[in-house]
Amino acid sequence: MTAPPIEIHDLTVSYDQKPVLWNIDIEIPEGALVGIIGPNGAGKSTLLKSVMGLLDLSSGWVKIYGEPIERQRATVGYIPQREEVDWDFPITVSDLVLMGRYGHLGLLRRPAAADREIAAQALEKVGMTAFADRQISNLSGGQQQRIFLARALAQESRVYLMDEPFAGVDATTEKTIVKLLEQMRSEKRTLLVVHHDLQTASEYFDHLLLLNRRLVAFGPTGEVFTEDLLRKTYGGHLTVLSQAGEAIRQSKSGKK
Amino acid sequence: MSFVELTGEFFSSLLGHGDAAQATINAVLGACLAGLTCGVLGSFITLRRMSLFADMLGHAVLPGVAAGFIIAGSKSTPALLLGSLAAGLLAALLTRAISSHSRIKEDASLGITLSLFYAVGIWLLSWITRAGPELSSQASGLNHYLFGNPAIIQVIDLVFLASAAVVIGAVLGLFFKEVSASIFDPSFADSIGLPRNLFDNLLLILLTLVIVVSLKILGVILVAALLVIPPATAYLLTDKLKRMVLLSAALGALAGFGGVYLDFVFGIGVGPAIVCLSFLGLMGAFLGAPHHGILGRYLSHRKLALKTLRENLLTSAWRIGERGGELLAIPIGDLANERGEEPSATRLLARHMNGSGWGRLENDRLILTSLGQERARTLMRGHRLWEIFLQREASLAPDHVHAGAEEIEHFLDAETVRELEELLDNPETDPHGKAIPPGSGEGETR
Repeated sequence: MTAPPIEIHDLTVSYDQKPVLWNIDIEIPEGALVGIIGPNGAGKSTLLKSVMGLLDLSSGWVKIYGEPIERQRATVGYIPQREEVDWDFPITVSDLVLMGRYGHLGLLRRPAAADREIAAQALEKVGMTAFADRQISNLSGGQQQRIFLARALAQESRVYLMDEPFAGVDATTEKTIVKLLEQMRSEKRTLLVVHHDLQTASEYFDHLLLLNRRLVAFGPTGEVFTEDLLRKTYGGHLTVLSQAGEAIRQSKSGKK
Repeated sequence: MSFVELTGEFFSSLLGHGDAAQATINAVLGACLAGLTCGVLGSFITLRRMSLFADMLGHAVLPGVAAGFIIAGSKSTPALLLGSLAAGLLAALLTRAISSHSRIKEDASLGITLSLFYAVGIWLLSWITRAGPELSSQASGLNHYLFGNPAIIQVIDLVFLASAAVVIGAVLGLFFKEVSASIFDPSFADSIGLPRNLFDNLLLILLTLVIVVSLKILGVILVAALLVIPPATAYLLTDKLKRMVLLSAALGALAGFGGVYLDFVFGIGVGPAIVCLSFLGLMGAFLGAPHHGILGRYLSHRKLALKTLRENLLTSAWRIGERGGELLAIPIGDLANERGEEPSATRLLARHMNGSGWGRLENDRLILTSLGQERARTLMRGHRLWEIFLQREASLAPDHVHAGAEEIEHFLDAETVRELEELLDNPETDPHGKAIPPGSGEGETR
């Protein structure tokens, strides 16, 4: 049996000694379009960052096709939240998209004509070709999100992790993203998407991952998008976890 | 000597004439090299928001200068440079250590190391003057490191400056894409496995290096200026990183040259002259930069105001035509009536039509071209569609929708109008019962 695109085993992650994700254990099947949903502070972004190897794990491990992320970076494309970057940075749209090729180039090599071609096609797919030479701050929120997506497309990865791509975007952008997700799924790519809108979640994704500090449920949308499981995800019974987390933090940092 | 004579002497010594020729040439070369290198590195430093590190490191190398002197027993350039390099790197390490191992934030941590190292530097310098004749007799001229003095630049200083320029240029050139990606989008850089901490440390090391070799030009206190002001100026002038780096290098070199010249002529000190010149450049960009300058923004605002004014005249004309009035050559009196203002005011406004391509004032009538009529039709169509939209979708009363539409009509592009048509199912009359002009062609010109 081939290894799954993403295997998360008994993952616990803490910020400042305080656990925010507890004992996550999942295998994401190849070609799944997965929506990650859960309330604010449920650890959705943390989960993506942990898979990406951007955080220190308290325990557990993550494997990408059976290997640690460090050996599979080119396989996985990551789209951070839009707010994380400085949009006044002196860079044009096409330069930003070209960054998607940097992982393949390695140190010291410059982007070749082929890389520029791939970046141009990615820009075309998100309908932003006309903006190629614009400075990135002159774009609307939706357009910014689309060029982030274009950069990810230029990475040509088999697995994608997207942090809230639908947050604060216009209708045109939302349609573009949905179409792209569909297309990527038809190409058998595996997609993990943090999503905040319950109303569209069951429509956009074929799998859902319900998260609130711990894994509430993971499975085909039809099976896990139930009132009972959603109540478990968003309900108040999990506050005990954050209280316990706070207690751990206080005792470890020696404060009372 | 007069200003003109001094200027003549400056340039003739640059060409190798006179007693001061070598010193002047060295000073100019040194200041230009320092400006160039600081400009290049400073671009990355300011974008990485490490400008305060430049200020801190400038002050923090002082004890290194003093310690290098004490150990070598003389003002041997390599000893002083090595000493200051060591002090700078130590200060950078300490700053990082304080902010990453406690809750103290980076700016406070920078303030702590800056004052500590500077204090130790001053203490060592005053100790040297009291340390007995052997050391203190050698010490005269050490204060050039405090305030800078390009007149004492020697060939060996130029060699160090040039080497630093080559090292910094090579490192940033080789890792241009990695460094810029790490600065712009840290999470993404991490996700593709770029060693971002390494690049951060590399920037700090290069920063210490350039400060150390530039000390004699600007002194510990002012050296940060060349690392911050030219890059900030370039940042206002361009939206492309490569251009910003080149521009900032050129501005830095220019400030260096100008600083030495102004000092030669007016004797105001090279450091202060460089800083003031750089600031003048910054002010110029602040006011005059094409997109990010105050003046540019003012002009584009004026342009928009003129366009709005002309378009309002067009819609007034359209309303007159709609009631069966003359549309091609409208008497100013009719137009003034429609707009509810004095004819003299309307006449003044109508003069602004000249040169728009939409119409002109002629024999006290507003003559509309076919382009002008087309634009008027497009404006009215957008205006009335918007009124319906506000009424239906935002549930506003019919008598509340006009003002909003009056503003938005100038900004509706063809795509938005098409969306409105689709959304509103191509209506024929507006909330006030007036006909919506059919959409045809573009008419969007000026």
